[in-house]
Parts: sequence; C-alpha cells; structure tokens
Amino acid sequence: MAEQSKAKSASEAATPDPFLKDFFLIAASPDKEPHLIGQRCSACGGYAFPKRVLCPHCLRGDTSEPALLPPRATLYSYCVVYVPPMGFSAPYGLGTVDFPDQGLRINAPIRSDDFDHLELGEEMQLVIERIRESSEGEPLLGYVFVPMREWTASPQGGKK
Amino acid sequence: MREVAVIGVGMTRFAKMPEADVIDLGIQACLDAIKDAGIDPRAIQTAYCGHARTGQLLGREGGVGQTILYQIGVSGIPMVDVSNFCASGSTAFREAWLAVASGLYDIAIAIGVEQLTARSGKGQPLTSDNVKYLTAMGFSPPTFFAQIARRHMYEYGTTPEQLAMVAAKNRGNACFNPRAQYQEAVTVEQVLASKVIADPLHLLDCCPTTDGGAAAILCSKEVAARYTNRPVFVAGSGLRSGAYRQMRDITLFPSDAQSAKDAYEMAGIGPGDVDVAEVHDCFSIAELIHYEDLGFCAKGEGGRMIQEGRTAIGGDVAVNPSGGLLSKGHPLGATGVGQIAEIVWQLRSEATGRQVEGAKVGLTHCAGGFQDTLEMGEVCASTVHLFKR
Repeated sequence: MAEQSKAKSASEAATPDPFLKDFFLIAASPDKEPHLIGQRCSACGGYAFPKRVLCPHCLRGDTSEPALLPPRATLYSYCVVYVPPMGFSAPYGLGTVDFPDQGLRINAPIRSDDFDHLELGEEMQLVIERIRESSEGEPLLGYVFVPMREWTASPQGGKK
Repeated sequence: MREVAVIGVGMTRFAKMPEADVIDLGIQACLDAIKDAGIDPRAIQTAYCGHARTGQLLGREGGVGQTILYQIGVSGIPMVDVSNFCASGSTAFREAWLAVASGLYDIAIAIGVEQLTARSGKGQPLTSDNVKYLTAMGFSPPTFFAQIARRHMYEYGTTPEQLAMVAAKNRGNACFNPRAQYQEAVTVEQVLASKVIADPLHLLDCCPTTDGGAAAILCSKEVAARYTNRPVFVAGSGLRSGAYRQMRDITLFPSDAQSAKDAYEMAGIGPGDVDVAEVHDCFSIAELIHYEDLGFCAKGEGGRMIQEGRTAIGGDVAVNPSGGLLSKGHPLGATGVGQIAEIVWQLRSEATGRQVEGAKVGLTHCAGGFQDTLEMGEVCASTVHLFKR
C-alpha cells in the first residue's frame, strides 16, 4: 500500500506523455471519468483511434469530429514484459483492448495485481496514471486499462 | 515477363561481429555469390541492396550497395538501396527479379546486409523503427508477438510447449548449418526454462541480435544456360504492404496471406507442392502463424503441425532447415537474401547434413515492420518467393 500511495502522489505531479497527450482526457473532477479521444465521421458514422487525416472507412477528409470513447473496454490480448526498455520498470503489462460498439481494437498498457488470473474477454476500466519516466526521470502520464474487478475493489486507486 | 534464374548465391556466417565493417560483410557475400555463379563481376548490369537499420545504428543511411560494389569493381550501372523493414533484402531480390523479368537487364545482383551488434542497449530488445506512440507505451517486437501467442493459445489451444518445439526444431537444424549463429541443440525443456522476455515468450522463443550479409545473382533463362547447368528458377514473387483493418484478427497476417497468394498464382504452384520453406520465424509463434497463412495447414492447426513433426526435415514440408531466424540469426536486411541462398542450396542438393531429399519446390517468406499507430497492427511489408529447379 505504501508503494501504491507513493505511486499515486507521483502521478499527481506528473505531466501527460508528450507522445500520447492528444489521445486521452484526464477526468475533470473525481466524480467524472477519463476518456480516450478518437474521431467519428459525421458522414459514415465510422470511428477511428487515434485520429487520422481521412476517415479510414469512407476516406472523406472534412467530416471527422473528435469523439470520446467509453472508459470501459474488453481485453483482447496482453503480455507481461520482464525485460524493460529504458524508462520502464518490469514487470509491466502491454495489451490490446476492444471497443465493440465503435469497432476499435487498440493497444494499451495493462495494469493488474494478478496477471496470472487475467482473462481475455474481461471488462477493463480506463485510468490515467504514470506509465514511464522521461529521460530526465520525470514521471509521465498515459492511458492504462485495469481489470474492472480490481478497479471496483479500489476505485480511488483507479481514479488518479 | 521472362523466366529468371538464380545462378549464384553467397552468404557470410551469421553471427555477432561487432568488430566487423558492414561493408566488408557485403563484400564477402558478393564475392561468394560471384564465385558461385562463375561470372565476371563486370557482367552485372544492375544492383539492389537491402538494409534496414544502417542509418540509425551505423550512420550509413544510403550508398551501402554502391560502397560494397565499388570495392569489387562493379560501377557505372543502375544501383539502388532498398529499405523495407525486415523485408529489405527480400524486396531487393524482388526488384532485381523484376529488372531481369521485364527484359530491361540480363544479369542483376541482390544484396542484403545488416550489423545490429553496433546498437546500444545490450540485452534489451531492439526497438522498432517508426513507432513513437507504441514506444511510449513500452512496446518492442516481442510484446507484439507475445500478444499474438496468447490470443492463438486462447482461440486454438496452442501451448507453450508447441511454441518451444519450433525453437528446438530450428536449433536442431542449425546444428548442421556451418553459417548459423547458434549450432548447439536445445530441448523443449530448455526453451521453457529460459528467461521470460514478454510472457508467454521466453528468450529462446525470440531471434537473437545478428550481423551478416548475403547476395544472389539473377539472370535470364537464356543467359543462365551460359553459366550453369543447375539453375534455380524464380517461379513466383509476391510483395504486399500491411493490410490495415480495424478489429483485425491478431492471429493472422493478411499481408502474408496475400503475398503468398500472389506468388502461388504466378507460379501455378500450391502450398501442397512446396518441399522446403524458409519462413520468417522472428519469434516461435510467428512460425506457427506462417504455417497457417502460407497454407501449409488449416487456420488454428499450426500448433498441431509442429507437434506432429510435419515441418521437420522429412516431414510434409521442411520449414527452416537452415535454423531459421531463431537459430541461424536475423540480420534484418540480410535475412531475406540468406533465406534465398538456403533454398538455392536445398534445390541443388548442396545442404549437407540438413538436406531435404529430392526437394524440387522451395518457398521463402520474409516480413516485418510496424505501423506508427495505436490501432491493432499488422506487418508493414511481406514478401513471398517461390523457387523450382
């Protein structure tokens, strides 16, 4: 728990990852939820994430509007990394989650206290938290998916 | 299109050679190929050289092929460096094939070179080119293939043991390949006991860091008759870029299936006709997926195919008799041309110790690269070539 609260206070001071900052929205207040920012085409209704120059479905270029994706998704696959690149602490999870209503399958960091029991198809909750450190050692925020059952057990820990 | 033959191949040993110069690796491979073909280097009319990471790692962004060929007296001809991710060498070969098949040139050389030991971050996976968003999330190629493995296990019941069987088979083959990076056998148990890199993939499920060079001389059928009585013909060629689709099934690669279809149709050859194949086993799971995408078995049957020994030398189709990327090594740009060298040796019955008896039809498959997106990925470039004697 001490580790967790330490991580939490670090993330409160952290800044969004410069590569990922345009793709997520931090919850405006503790009673609000965070979102990923995709796009929806007003002509064909198709979604994309991240945003594209043309709608990938109908290839129109002037019909795309920003669209907030729901904060819940289902787990499609994942791995647990034990040999980390610079800036990451192992083990950490990296996976793919589905938004069936939007027809999107996207890459996302995955956090769990119990990777051994994580199951494909599980419902996952979006949280915004520290994902890595910059080369200067600064914590950087990104979007992360946590198993719903873990997030429900400790929602405060999830709504950072 | 004219019929095109490969009349000579050459290859350095694939190994960690941090002291070597990438140009020297290319020179050695070219001299071997020229000697094998029995031609005067000045007879070469056009050249293509594949390399994927010499820019960032070695400070040589272009001119690699020119610099190699300058040293061996080949100059004043069209020369092009080719960069197409892990398929750089196989793409260079395809361009050389096109140059001869079109009738524009009679003799061409395809070169592949790479030196990866020059990179920093020893012990860490090579980060992929061109993926800044994914890199920010801690992505490396093993993380992508580990996710494929987990999903393939989930959908088809594939097991970690079946993945390890790929690594053990290819290492067993490499024991008979003097040019392979690793030539000591490993067991399934040793693969499973090796360090976990990205669960469910272990160290021995992953290809190593490798340096090397390879080259092939291609010419028209008519010209081939002047130099050799054992030409190996290019029967089909396919090259496709990544076929990106939302909600794509991660357990298959559409670009691979399509480039294979292109090559099979051009050749009038089906998967069941292939005697020997060199496929892009960058990770053990990748080889199982390739069995399925190349049509060697039905979708989801890859795990069963390795377990039943059907891809061993002597099986239905011998896959990676050279040791594959897992044990022969994976010097990115050189890999595709090295695969072609192995198939040429196999079809000439020169692969001592690992020879696929009576092999008449061979296939090479080389693919790689990741798109700079956060959407479900797909390999950026896939090449398939078919050969017959």
